[in-house]
Amino acid sequence: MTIEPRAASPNGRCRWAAACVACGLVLVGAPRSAQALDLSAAYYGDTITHPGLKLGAGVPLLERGQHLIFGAANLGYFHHERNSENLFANAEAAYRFTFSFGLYLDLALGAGYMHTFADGPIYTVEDGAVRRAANTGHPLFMPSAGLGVGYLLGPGPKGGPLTIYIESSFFGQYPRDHLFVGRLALEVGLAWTLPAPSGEG
Amino acid sequence: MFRTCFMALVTLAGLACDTRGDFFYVESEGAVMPVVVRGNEASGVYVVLLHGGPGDSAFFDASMSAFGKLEESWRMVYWDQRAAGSSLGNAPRETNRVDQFVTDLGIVIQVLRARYAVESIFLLGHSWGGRVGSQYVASDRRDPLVKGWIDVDGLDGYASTYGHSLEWVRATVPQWLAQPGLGKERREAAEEALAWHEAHPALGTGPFQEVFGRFRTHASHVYAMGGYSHDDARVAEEAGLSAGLLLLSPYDGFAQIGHAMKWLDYWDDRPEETAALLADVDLTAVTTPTLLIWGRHDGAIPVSVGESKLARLSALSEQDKTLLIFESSGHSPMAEEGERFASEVDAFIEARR
Repeated sequence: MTIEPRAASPNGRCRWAAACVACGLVLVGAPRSAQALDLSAAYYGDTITHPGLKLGAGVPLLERGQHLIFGAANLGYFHHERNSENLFANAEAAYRFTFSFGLYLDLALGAGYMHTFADGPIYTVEDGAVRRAANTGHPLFMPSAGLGVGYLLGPGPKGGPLTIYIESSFFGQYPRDHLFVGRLALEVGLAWTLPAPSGEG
Repeated sequence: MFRTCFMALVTLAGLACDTRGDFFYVESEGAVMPVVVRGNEASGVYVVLLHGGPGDSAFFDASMSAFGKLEESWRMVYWDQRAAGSSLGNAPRETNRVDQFVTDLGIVIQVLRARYAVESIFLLGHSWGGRVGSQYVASDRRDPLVKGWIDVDGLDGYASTYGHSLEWVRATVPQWLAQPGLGKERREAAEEALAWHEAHPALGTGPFQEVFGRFRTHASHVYAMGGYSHDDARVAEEAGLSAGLLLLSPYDGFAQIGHAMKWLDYWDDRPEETAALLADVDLTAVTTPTLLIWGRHDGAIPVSVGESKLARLSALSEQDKTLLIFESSGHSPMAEEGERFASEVDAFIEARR
């Protein structure tokens, strides 16, 4: 019987760094709108307490007075200690209603891809010997729905509005043992709208 | 700054999370199953908990004080089975068969032996875990270090278990209906249960989902009539879902609910598996010393199931097979009479380690 020496769980910091790099790429590559571009960064807590990060970029699609429909692309990560590490990328379509005093309500529907890794060493038995198995993770479809509320804090960098928001979301993981597993998450973050370039829009 | 704050949050969550003991996963046939090992390492005795279900979680059971007590003496092994609790992956449907669960148990034991200085192993199975453990000790795959088997209100064949439980329903419902001041809601539940069982005098055969769907309906009636617990408050206190377990532990409540509620959806309809689960385990060749622990008031898997198992352990001497009845328990004696439970298990292991 053979076995590798006990080792620490797969390097979560590497995945964390990869998530940050990937989020950065999405932000850099996000479609630029002549109207505005919303950038957001948030604490993302699966079941509230399994901590993570969500970075997003949104563009307005249709605006009529206090009503706004926008699209967003997000990258995120959350960590469930001794359970899983999770990376995801999704796209959302959202409706926003803004009150005159700076408060807004969001309703978002999304779909994306999640990759879940085991948060610990994996052992298996091959030809009668115990061996360390590769932690390649599992692909999952990730639909989501969220309800959020935000508030205008004031002008942010370069004059664009800075808002704080909180969103409660439901998301799914499919397939987990051929099942759709529904989960809840809480998101708290800041969003900053890039000011529209002068002479446009 | 943001990254520093975030990493601090991750660290805090990690510190706050229950990370006692050792932790790893075991992979087998598409399932990635978590295992926590904690307790008295110096003892050299490893007690593998086989949780109920199918679909429940050993991490959930581990929060009961009886298992905490056992950790003082022995090394407890909490393993979430395939397609259960917090296990990961998307195991092929055809691997969801009881024989594969037995194979998985063998792999868990192999990994334990490779990682630790194991002197002896005991299996402790509850409900569905009783079925998995019985089948393991009855098979020729039993590891020689397995020195004892503790079967707690363990499932036998679904067909015979249904028959025993049906007798409990027939005896219990009239008692319920005779109670003075029985509320309208409870009366209706009892009458509905009686009518349903009169229409289903046996579990019968047929497609997998139909047969075990009937068992599930039966179990829900038994649950409504109190057949799972003798003292609801005690069970809720010991085996209730706490905020700490849900928010700050490796336990995944969302996945477990899915696994436990929907297990019929991810098992294939295969006649051979239906037949295997309906049939009793052949216990006549079992040579592993066996302790059967049963709650007197268990309506789901009644004491008569334990008596039947005891009678069929014909290869064991009287000293090596015992049935203990817990008079103040329903389906989960480890929750309702935890102190006695830990004491009896301690004594059984101490005598055979």
